[in-house]
Amino acid sequence: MTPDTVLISFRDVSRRFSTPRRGEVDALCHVSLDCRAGRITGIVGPSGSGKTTLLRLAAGLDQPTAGEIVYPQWGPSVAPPPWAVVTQEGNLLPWRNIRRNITLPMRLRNVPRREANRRAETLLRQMHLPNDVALSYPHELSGGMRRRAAVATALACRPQLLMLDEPFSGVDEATRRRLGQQVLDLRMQYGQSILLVTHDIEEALLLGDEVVILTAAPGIERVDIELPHPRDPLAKAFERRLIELRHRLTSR
Amino acid sequence: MPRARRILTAAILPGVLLVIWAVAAARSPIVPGVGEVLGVLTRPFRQPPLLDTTSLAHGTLISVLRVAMGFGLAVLLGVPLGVWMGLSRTARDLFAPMIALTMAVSPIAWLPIAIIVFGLSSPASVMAGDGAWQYATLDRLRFAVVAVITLGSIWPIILNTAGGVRQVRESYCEHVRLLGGGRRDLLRYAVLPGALPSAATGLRLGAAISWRVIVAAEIFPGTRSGLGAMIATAHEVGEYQYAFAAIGVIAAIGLLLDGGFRLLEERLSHWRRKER
Repeated sequence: MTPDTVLISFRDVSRRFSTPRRGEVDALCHVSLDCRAGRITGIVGPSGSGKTTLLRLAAGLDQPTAGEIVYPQWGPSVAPPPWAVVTQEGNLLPWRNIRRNITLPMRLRNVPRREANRRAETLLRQMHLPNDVALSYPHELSGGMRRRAAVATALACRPQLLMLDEPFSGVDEATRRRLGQQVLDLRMQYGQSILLVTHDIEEALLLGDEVVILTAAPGIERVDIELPHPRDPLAKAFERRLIELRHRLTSR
Repeated sequence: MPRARRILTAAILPGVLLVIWAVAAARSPIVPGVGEVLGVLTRPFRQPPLLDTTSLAHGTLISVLRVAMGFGLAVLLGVPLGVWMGLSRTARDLFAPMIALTMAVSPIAWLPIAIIVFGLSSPASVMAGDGAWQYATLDRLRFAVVAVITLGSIWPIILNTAGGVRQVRESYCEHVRLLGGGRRDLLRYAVLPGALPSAATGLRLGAAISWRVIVAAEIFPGTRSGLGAMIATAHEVGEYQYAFAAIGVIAAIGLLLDGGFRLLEERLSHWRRKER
């Protein structure tokens, strides 16, 4: 797959919800967007701008009320889905230990148990998780470890596109930076395509090859970020882009 | 020492009860003494000379077998039905009114109807064992009594299983679906394990009800075996040491049953206490 191959294409997509108190609410309004292979696409916007709705639509967990979502590489109803999602809740089943969580996608694809366990160990190492985590249950881990285990579970199905919904929320600054670096490693070392939803514009700028700004206003704004990796948040060029993005976000 | 103090506190009321019993036994010719009851308990295989029932051990075996059959049947029927009701609105609409109606009636009230339906039939009428002992034992497991136990214990199993299935977070199902799981995988990896703690609570409640129902059903005239029948006949002939011994065995087995199912429940729901 070449780096510019379109994986998911949103064509004038809208999603409207009926709520008991506020009536009809537009969560997403006339969004057109291409998500390309081998890139980190950062989706930023304030709370309630429809970021999670966009991700759920991309993952096929929800259907648009208008417009269409096309997967040029995969066709309309590909199974199993070639993407994986790490949700805000951390997509781990609480009754399975971490190893059994990571091996689940492989078991569903009939990978033999021994091979699945071996790959789970590799994934734990890749996400810098100690070996003894394998037998722990999600509730026994810290927030940061749970996120990494969730990413390892998502990677276990070798997805062509990894969708991350606020993967770093609720963890401390140091863990946040480490997780960010690991996401970047996935993109740099393995060419992993990533769709990253975040409310933190600095995070999107630090990691994204392109940033999509989403607000309550119809449509989106797409900005290419050409800054080389690794990016220094204290560098002048970075600060300039950050101010520019903040300005674009608030002026929409 | 908070632990020793707690044990001491817990022992106060049983101790008071023992004292009251000892005083009552000393003053009344009807109330049996502690020694008499212990005499029955330490010789469980002896046939009570004045009672028209089998020995304490055999009575216990009969009661346990009846509960095992009735409760086992309730689990076999109740868990799948609960899962179905948890998954399907139609199943809920179909069974919920019937369940509400049947639950309102004490299980013992169904015994006469169960006797009309099942008569005196038992597993022995279907498959007789080779030895007389087996035949006699099987014959005592009347289907009517077993049906009443099933009817008494099935409701908490159904309702808790259905509740557990409905409470499984949608995000867990979505997760399995996103990993490529089909309907069967959804059931196997998300719905059933997620509903297990609640189903286990249903099993514990159902087991407790079965054990209470069996004693009441056995006191019912016409049942000449089991711990309940021993209490009833001991009362008829005034041999109360057998009634006291039977009550002691009932309490001990009830405690064991509750403890066992509590342990199972805790093991199956260790993840639930800290679910985030």
